[in-house]
Amino acid sequence: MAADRRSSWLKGVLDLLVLSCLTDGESYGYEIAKALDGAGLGEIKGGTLYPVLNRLEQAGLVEAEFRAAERGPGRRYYRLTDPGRAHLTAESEAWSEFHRAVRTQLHAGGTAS
Amino acid sequence: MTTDAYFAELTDALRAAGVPEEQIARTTDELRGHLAETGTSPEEEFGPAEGFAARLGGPVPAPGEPDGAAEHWTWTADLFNDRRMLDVHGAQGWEVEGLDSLGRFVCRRAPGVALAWEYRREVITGRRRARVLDELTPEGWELCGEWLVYGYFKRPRAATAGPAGAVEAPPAAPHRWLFLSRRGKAALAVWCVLVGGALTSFLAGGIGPSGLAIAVAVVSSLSAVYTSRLETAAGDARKKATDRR
Repeated sequence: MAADRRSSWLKGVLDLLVLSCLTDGESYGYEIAKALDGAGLGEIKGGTLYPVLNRLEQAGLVEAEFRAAERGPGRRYYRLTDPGRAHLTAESEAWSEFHRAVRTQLHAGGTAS
Repeated sequence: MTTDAYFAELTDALRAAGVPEEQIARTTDELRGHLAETGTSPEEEFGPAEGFAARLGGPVPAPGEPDGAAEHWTWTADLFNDRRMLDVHGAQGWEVEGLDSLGRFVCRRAPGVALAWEYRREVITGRRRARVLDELTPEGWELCGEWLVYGYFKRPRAATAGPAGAVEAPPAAPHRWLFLSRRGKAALAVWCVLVGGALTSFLAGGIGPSGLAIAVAVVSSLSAVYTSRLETAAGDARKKATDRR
């Protein structure tokens, strides 16, 4: 149940979390998944991550470039576009407002410490 | 399933969804690279290939391509491919308004932020019809079209996913309108051969206009019934496999 709930929460904000992994520069799928896991958001499987990256690319919020590797398969590097950066800023603020409202309500209900 | 078999299935599904070959190659290269780093199996990491292909969505618009999405679009697929394609297009915000007389899905998409739609197909012949409608209607499913023995149901994804069920940046309307599976293409080829034979016989004077009309009608009916039976058998096999899990 707890895992299901976290999964639902993530659905609403995963695109922003992925964009946030690119604010300091380009990155690729596996590295993004590791960064989100390291941030305590749990393991994001490729089956969830790549459709998000695909949608972000389709929306023009990120752009991608495939680079061959000396050994093994190449990697596709993603970087934020200007609209992507603006989108992240605006939507992060909207998420923060929502988060504040939830926290206030939970405190009001006496269920949060 | 081996990794190669998984990627072969994924490639087929993406191809059927109209994703360009170059984009398919790029995507599968990227996913193989991901697996090389995680060390997991493709099914464990990405889930079943067909569903993953549907979630990956359609083609990425080429740079500079106009993105003015058409509000209305009509397309069709064979019975082996229709649910997969409904998944793909529903995720892109296409709402089926009905089926036209040719059995094509007549769709519309709201401008701006569209809702994603989910679909299901059920056999609704005879007494099953009322039972299926009674079961699905309370869950938010709405009958949006009927073809042969099948009823198609739609439901906005927001009904289960909340705000996450919106499509904020839908891709442009596809140029394609026909999505045939390999089995669908084979059935169409057989239909063409048989109807072509009847037409040749008509032109050679072997049969009259009414004979030609009857031959086309019989071949079309047999083709529809045979395709439907094949798909029903495949559906039963899938259900048994699911029940065993």
